[in-house]
Amino acid sequence: MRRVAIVGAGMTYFRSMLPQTPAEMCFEACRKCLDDCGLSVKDVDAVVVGSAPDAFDGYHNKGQAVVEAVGGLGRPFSRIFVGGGTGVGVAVAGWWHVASGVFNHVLVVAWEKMSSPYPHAQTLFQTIFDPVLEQPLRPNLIWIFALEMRRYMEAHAITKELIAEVAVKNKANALDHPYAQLGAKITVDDVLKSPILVWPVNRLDISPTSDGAVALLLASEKEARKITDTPVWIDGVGACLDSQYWTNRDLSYPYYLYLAAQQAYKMAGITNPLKEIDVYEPYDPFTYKELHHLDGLLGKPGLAPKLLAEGQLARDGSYPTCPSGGLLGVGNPIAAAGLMKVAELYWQLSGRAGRRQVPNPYVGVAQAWGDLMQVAQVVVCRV
Amino acid sequence: MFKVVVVGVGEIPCSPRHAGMDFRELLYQAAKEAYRDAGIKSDDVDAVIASGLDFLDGVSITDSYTPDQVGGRLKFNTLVSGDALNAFIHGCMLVATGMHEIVAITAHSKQSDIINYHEILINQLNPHTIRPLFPHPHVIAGLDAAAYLDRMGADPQVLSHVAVKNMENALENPVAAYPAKVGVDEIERAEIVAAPVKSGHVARLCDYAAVVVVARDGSRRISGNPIYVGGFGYGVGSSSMELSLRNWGEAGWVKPARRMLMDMVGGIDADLVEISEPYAHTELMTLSQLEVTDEKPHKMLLDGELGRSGILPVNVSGGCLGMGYPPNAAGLQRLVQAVKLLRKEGWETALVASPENELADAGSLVYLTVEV
Repeated sequence: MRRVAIVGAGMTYFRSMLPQTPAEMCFEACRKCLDDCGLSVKDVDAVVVGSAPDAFDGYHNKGQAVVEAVGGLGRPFSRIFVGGGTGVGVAVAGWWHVASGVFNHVLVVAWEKMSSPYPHAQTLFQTIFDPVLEQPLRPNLIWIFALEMRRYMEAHAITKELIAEVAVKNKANALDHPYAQLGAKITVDDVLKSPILVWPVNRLDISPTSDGAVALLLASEKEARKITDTPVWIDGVGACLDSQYWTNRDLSYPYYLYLAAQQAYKMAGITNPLKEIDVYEPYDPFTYKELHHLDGLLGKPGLAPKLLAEGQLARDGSYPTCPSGGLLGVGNPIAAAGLMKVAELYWQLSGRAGRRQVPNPYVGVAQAWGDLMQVAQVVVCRV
Repeated sequence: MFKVVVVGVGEIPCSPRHAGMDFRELLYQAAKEAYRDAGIKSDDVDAVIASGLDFLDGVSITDSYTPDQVGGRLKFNTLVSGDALNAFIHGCMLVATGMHEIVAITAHSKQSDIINYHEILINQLNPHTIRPLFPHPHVIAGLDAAAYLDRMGADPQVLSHVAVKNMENALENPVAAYPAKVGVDEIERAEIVAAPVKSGHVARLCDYAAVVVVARDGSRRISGNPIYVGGFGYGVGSSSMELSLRNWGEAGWVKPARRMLMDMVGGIDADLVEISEPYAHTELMTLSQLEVTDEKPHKMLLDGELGRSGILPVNVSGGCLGMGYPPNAAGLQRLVQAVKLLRKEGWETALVASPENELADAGSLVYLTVEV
């Protein structure tokens, strides 16, 4: 298996209504990424893009809508998607392009344009549900996440006050992210007093709908060492998809994520993630999801809330979690948000995270999640 | 890089409509056959690469509907959008990394549930400059066909010869939906859908599902009759959303895909070729740019050299004109036919080509061999 490195990254602002089209956002992210590693599109062997529902952009087979913008004309080009897991999933796909020995330089791009759907992206989310069993009930994503949050709180006796601290932490972290949408100094009280959307989910428990794009350049070991002195290695990848029938499983623990993480750790030679990982970027579209996912990444149900309560998930804590600001702070253009987390590992591990920098990180893990609460994609990076 | 072999193929018969079954049930049947063919159980599959598109399935993030019916639950999964032959290539790359030993690739078409297929297709085009014109995909195909025939100096009647050949080939394929013994005159008398394309030149849609199992060469967990994946390539030619930027009459995607394939295999010596052809001219247009022959494809066709016993048999399976065109699954449909033909008919190498769909100038190539 060839070793694969991240050698460049670029992203657009994450905003609620960016004026750019999906193609323009992707072009900007790609240009910044290629500038970051001093390459041009001519150096790219293949492009793999990720974006979630076609309906957001109003295109059938929407990968074709960004081909020119990402330099895909005249070269191998593919699109993958696994719902909300797409952002890290596309990095995993980029990994196998290079690790297989087929390509040496692969441009990995993710985007989402959530401001186009009218009246709101939530309307389109109804179309992810089973058209026979679930859609007639006119479900809403926030409803089912409220069920999961309630179950998680019950299983580990977690208070709303504690969960609210995730929003406080991540939005504060995002103040140091130059592309963030919702960096802010807020309090636990602000979260608890924000409107209840579906109990126990308050408005400030939820990441925003966003537009944005992110690009990474992946390279084989030989090529990476020519491009940069600070490559960040993708030393482990994992993916797992549970049943589409979400009603049939215990929502208190993301077992599918545990399995995906174990795949990645095995590949990276990690046996004790709590001791060996220095920076965590779990997927946090909702406050409780950061904790829920961290439980899965650590393989210890109920541990993450305890670490949060002890202040250990802070940027200067023992287990810095979402130092980027996460989706709650940076924003949540679905696929791009996941790839932003991998980009954050690249910036953190190469010592270029600026004011967000975690002290001396050596190993990091990023994760994304989606579909009907059933998919996990994991990447372990190392300097 | 690990060598990759195809160890199992499964499909359900092509049909204008599989009533009473949704795409998950179609896939279940195909997976059962593929795993039986590979001599494995679903538990042996390490990873699943699905192929699918939201608008064709009538749901968003259609990947979430994949794992249950193919034994993919709680395993490594992803979905590659666009034609299924591209998903197959990703499955091969995943095996080549060494991370997974046995990977299943899935594709399905339940077009009979779609009431506005052509309307969906044009949603691939630019919403500002093209869609307001509401062009029917057949019109775009007609422009492509006319440009190709003009470039080749070919008579439009060659399109009917393609249709006759493929539908007749399909008579020997038990899973074909539209086998027929017809004459060129009969096709020529058919109504024009967009000159020079006539209704007989358009592959009729079909319901279909296929699952292909690929594995690391030498895997002890498999049995049976492996076919080697000699190489693959894929690429994009011109913009698929802007008609003004299109190179009419050319399958521009073949050039980068072929370049990639040639880098892997050095040379192509195909005993047979399987090409997804939503339209009759797609077969000739693609073949002309594969450069597997010095002669113009339409001349070879008229000389009978693309027939079952010709120099370069093309779409011996019946192609999409004879079997039916399963949207998004045509590439895997062709690959399954190529594997079956290599196993049964004594041919040693096959080239499989599949454009992404009727409108996209993108596609994939796979080269299969019986021996290493």
